[in-house]
Amino acid sequence: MAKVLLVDDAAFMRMRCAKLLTENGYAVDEAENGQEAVEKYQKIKPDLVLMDITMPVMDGLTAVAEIKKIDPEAKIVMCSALGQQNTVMSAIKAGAKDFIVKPYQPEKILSTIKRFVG
Amino acid sequence: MGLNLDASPEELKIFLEEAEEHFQTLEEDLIRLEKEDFNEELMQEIFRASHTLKGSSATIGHTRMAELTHAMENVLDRLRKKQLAVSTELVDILFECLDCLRVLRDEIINDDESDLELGGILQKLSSARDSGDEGTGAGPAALSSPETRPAEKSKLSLELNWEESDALRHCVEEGTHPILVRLTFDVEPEMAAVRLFVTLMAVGEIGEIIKSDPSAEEIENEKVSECLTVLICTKEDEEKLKKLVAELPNIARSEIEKYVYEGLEGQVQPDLPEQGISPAGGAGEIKSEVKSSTASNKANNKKANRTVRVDVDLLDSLMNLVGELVIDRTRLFQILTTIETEYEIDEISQDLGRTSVHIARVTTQLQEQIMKARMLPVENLFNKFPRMVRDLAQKAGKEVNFVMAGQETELDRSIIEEIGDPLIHLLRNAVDHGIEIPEERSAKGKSAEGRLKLQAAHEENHIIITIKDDGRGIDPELVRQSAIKKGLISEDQAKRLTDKEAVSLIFTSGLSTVAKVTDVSGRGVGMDVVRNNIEKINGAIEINSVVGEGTEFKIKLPLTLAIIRALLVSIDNSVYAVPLSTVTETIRIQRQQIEYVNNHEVIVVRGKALPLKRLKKVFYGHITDEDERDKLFVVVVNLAGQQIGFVVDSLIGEQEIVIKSLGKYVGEVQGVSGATILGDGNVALIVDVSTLVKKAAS
Repeated sequence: MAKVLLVDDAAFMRMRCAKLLTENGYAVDEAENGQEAVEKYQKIKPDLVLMDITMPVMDGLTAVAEIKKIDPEAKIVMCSALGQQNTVMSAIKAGAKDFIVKPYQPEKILSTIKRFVG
Repeated sequence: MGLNLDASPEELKIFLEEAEEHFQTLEEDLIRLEKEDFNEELMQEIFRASHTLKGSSATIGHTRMAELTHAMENVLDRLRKKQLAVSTELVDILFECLDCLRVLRDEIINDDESDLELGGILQKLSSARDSGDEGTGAGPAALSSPETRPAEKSKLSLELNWEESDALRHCVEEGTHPILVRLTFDVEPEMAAVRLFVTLMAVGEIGEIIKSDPSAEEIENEKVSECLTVLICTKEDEEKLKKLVAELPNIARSEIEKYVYEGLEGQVQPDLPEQGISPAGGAGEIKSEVKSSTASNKANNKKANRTVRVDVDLLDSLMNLVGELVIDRTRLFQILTTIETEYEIDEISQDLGRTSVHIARVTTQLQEQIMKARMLPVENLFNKFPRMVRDLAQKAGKEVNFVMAGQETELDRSIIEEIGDPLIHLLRNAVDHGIEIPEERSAKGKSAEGRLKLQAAHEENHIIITIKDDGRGIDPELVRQSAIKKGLISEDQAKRLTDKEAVSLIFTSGLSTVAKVTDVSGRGVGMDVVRNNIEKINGAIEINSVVGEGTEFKIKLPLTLAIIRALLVSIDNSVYAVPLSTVTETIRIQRQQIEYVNNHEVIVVRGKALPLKRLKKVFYGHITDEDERDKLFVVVVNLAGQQIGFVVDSLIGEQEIVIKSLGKYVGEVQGVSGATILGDGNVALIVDVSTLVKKAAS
């Protein structure tokens, strides 16, 4: 089963996403900020990371760079809100593979994840 | 009309909890923002709160909330980047946003759309956002305006410069073949530029990009286009590319063909993709591993919330049931004592004793736990005050440094509900009347900024809430004059009052209006109402004021409403309960010690006259001295600085009692606030201290 690491500081968003993903057969782990994401990435080696951008402690952009340092092959999809175009662009340049724009549409999340991990 | 939100009740619950958290953050931070001006970390926190709210509200489909938070975010973003300066007006606007957000949040709670109009605030936000620009108005794109711009049609061909031709030639020599890909996007992909960029990167993973239109650089500079044309050299065949492209999102149409270039004429075009060569790295990444897909809720369960929501009514009825148990506990012990004294102590009575002790212990624990379940930190109540004080101070043209402490102190939720209004009243008075305007303060040699402190603390079996300001204080002389004028007390009485007693007169009804009209004391607006509200919940209020230095209110509250500690006294062989929170001391006296002042009975305690009230008279009507015993007891009670002594026959002891109302049949009885059932099954009346003290004073 593909493992997805869900990174978002909003418990509400995590809960919603986790529900969708587990229902669709993914194993979900959660982190509430970039720092935690980096730590969890090392521990569980997820197949894909869904990374929020604006978070306390460590933001998504820094976390992408950190994770890429640990694993250059890491597959990270940025979860962003409208208006964060520049940050998303930076994240893509830093090695993120794709992005999803909030509010999430379930089909979009699923198709994106499917594209990377099947 | 319902909101039709896209979220389950559990999700909404979490959403609401988080929203409340963010509101609190915003509220606190906005106040700090105004004070501290620019603070990077603070700014980020504010931005994050609003940003997360935007994301979450959009997800549940609360469009109006998403729209407002988006507009807020635009302003905050510019603030964050120092393109806007913090100003009082701006903070006002942001506070207004917060108010609106709360209304929108309530829409979710009520599942009903409110008639809140967002037009005004959105307009304010957008002009605030643009105020930093000198006419350029280049704010971030609004939510409604798409990020795409009409793109010029590009041809399915690419002009190559010599460098690019060189690169192409080189790649072909390496054994790859050039393919031209032209992708047409959906009309409005989100973040068109990033989408273009990601697509370009994805295509680039199976080969080397010779050229693209728009180029990576152009895309980075936010050049957007409906089409992306890429010339790529790859070892893969067109089919593979087609498959790759088909998986990419937002692509409406794709054209893929072999690239033919004049400069390459004569060059051997590889007819077929070379076999046997392993696919390029990129393709490997796209290939998926087949993994089992049994759903597992393990991760979900781990995160499951360990709390449940309980209706307040249920807690109330639990408290009631425990109350019954508390009565039975006392009763059980009395039965045990009877058995032990009247019959021989045998195994059965010992057994009963042990069981009683156990039941008593469990009951006590149960009572504590249920009380705890009903407790809430006063934080929930306190949190709205900084904003209120700020607004009041601003309106009154005053500078107030508002400090809070002990927000974690817990109180029964019904008490928290009751105490809110009195606290608002006291804080408002402190800002309106207590603290002086900056000029006046400076002239007095005080700091221009007034201090106002709200503090909650646990003290034995009570919660003490203090409100202290360093304003002008209350002049006891002015209160005396005002009370005389109003006919509340005689001049003679006024003279005898200590300053503290005089100041406490502001709690008397009737004085308040005078004080308000003439602004004599600067306070006293409905102070009797404040006092009544507090005494209604068995609390007490006390005032300490020093002219020129400030005023302090001390509110003493019980931990819970349903069960109180009381002093049981006996009057004519009946038992009465006096709430212990009001009792300061008990004194044993001889009947002869009672003296008369102006036909009122008093007793001298430590050189001071203490007015007396004979409870026998209150409850049994007229009595003569002959009906009274020689030895009597006085229970001294203190309410809002007023002390009187209740004369009773004897004292029985302290006990926890469960307050029961007298019920509709009996209705209100003078001097009695309720009843309780004692251990022996008898009913004891609870003395209404507050009414009796007030009656004695008038």
